[in-house]
Amino acid sequence: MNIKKGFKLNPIRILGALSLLIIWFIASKIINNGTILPSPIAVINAIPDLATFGGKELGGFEKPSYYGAFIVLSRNSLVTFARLLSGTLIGIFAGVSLALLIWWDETIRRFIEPLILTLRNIPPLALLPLFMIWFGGWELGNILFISSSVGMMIVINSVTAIRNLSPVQIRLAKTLGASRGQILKTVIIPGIIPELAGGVRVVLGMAWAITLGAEFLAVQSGIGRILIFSMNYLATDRMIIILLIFIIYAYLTFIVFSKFVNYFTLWMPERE
Amino acid sequence: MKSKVKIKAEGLCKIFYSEQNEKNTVFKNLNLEIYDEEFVSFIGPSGCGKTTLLNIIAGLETCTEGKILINNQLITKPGADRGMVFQENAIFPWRKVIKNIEYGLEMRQINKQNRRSIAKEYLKLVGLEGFADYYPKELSGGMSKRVAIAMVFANNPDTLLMDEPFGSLDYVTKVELQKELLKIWQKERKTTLFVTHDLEEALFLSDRIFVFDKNSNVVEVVEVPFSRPRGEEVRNSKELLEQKKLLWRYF
Amino acid sequence: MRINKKKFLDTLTPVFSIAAVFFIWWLISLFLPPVRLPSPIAVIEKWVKSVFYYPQVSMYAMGGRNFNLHLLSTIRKFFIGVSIGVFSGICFGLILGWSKMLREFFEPPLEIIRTIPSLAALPFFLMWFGPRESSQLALVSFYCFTMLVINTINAIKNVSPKFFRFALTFGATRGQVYRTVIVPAIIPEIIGGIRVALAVSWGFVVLAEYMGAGYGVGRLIMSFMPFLHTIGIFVGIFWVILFAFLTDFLFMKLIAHPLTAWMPH
Repeated sequence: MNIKKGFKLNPIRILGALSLLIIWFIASKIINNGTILPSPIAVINAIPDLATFGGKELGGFEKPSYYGAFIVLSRNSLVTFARLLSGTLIGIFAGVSLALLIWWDETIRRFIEPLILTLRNIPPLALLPLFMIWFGGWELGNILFISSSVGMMIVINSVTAIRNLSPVQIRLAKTLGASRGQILKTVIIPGIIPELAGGVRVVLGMAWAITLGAEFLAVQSGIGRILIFSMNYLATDRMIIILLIFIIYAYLTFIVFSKFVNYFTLWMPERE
Repeated sequence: MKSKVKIKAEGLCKIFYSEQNEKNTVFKNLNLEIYDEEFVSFIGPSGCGKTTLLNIIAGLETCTEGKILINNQLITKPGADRGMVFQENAIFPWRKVIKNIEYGLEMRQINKQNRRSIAKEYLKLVGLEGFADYYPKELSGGMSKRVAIAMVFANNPDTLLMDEPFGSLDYVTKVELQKELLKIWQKERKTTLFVTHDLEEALFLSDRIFVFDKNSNVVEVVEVPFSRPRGEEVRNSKELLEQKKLLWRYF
Repeated sequence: MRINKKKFLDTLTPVFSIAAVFFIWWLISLFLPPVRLPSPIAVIEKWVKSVFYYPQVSMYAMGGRNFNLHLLSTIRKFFIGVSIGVFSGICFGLILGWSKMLREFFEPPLEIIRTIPSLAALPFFLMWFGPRESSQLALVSFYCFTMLVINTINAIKNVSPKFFRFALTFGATRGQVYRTVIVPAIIPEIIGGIRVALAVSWGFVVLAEYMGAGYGVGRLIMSFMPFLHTIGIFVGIFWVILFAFLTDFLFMKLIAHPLTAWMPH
């Protein structure tokens, strides 16, 4: 998948997206059941109801309002994003560091690598109840959980990326008299960034899943929790609002991430 | 003795548009004629359009203006009558050697038994007897090229197109494959178009050589004076060296 | 002599590392109450018992004297969900790969589905189908389907053009090229995608069971929670880990390696 190109907007695609909206509207009228599929208009009308999420203690408003809904959504989005980003960044940092350590020292590799290979097969989502028992709703525990799962995947990705580096470049650096530390800094780290970028994309998906999973089960704030909350009230219209918000956020993270990667991989020759 | 014209280019023009919408003209007004059963080489500097011309004749690309004819019919798409050997190794890695050679026959829906016996014949012809059940990953570069040649010959095309087929091989393998190519070609004469950078190769193999310049014009058509069949002594002969010197003038 | 030493170390250290983990676990469990961290020995003991006689199942959950009913339920949901999802995903991906028109038409919804986390679909399924097992199965199928469609389309895009150009010069029709070149060429990438989908699907099925009703390991784990029967939670998770391992191992051995025997490494 070519991250560099981002995505192009052209009239056909806009038409395609618009047609989705039209199909949604028609389908909702045919089904005529607000719980299964509310119409787009009903969804917009339901936005104010989100303002009451959380009750007084968790920052909800007493009365429904668009303004209130906006505040509630923003606050909870921030919470979810904060978890997601901090967990992911810590995980990436830890994962890459560990991978570099594994490259640096053979003994470390001997002991750590088999561990990682066994642990990689454990589905992180299944471990949620353990996390609930150990950390309750403690925010830091939540972030640690996300970090460890992200870190696991990134370590494997990075170790493979380091192994896939062309040995020629490392040899070249050595013949130029570079010390091991310099090789690490100037050859290995820049060299693995492209493959790492691909890995982070995949990891981001998993990080989202874990963050959401935790919000479904364990923690009481965040847009995932609003989704579940709305589900408990069979409020499909509000659920769809959250879904649309997800789509917007997903696109935003994708664009930001692509720009970020493009900046760092300016030197890479186009592969096609 | 002049045989009939097999392939003819009339006013051929090819324009490429790059991603930034830049116009890149490869051929402006190309005219050439290639006769039946002759072995022709195209030589010239990189980027002069030799491969593009070959692709147009193969039907893998279309010309922007002008006509390209084979047997007096317009070439519009690829077909089994024009077999092609590429420079890159394009034999199918997921098929064993023998099934690779059978590929063209399979496409023409020839039954299993016939396919297998024909394929075995050509396997032997390229000297790979015993490698029938190998996967391409187990073959060297030269062996893969032989499989490709066997594949194309087994399908019995009218015309043979070869785009720097031996370009990525070492000298010794290259010489061997040239010998084998001529050996097979002597048996089953086909009109052959051969693109190469190697002057010695062109002189050793062809009847005529088309010399292209960097603007994609044909600056010279050289008649190769050696008689057939050509043995190894031709390769190291004085005449070949002189012909090479003559060709060098164009570079 | 040196080679032997390396090989010896290479086989010994994995065992040592894993044993070390268990040892550290055991050490820490001495200082923590079993509600927080049961000792590994106790967990293993209960794990073995879980297929024979496990009273807490009937006490805290419903259905059966041991884990078996629930294990089978989870396995069943996993395999049916994955089979449906993977198979239909690949087929749909192949159809989209063939028809440019369909591809352009379905591209916007596919782009959208690709970027949002599949887990966001779970509440919708729970609401539409109720907390029953069908919603759990639906989540797994949905995830596998979307993953494999995208995987297949990408794999088709990544096929090197040299192969189908070569095929065309043999007079192959578009359909023949699709069948004899594209399909074999994409197998390795699809197998990679399936392997990932298998691992993640275990997580999804268990999570869906956490949130739903019916039978299943996840459901069992959830029912242990209010009673603080932590050791049972560990046993359940061990089962899930074992399943994940086994499916990966068997998949690689029985399907992946035979189908990719032709690949250079």
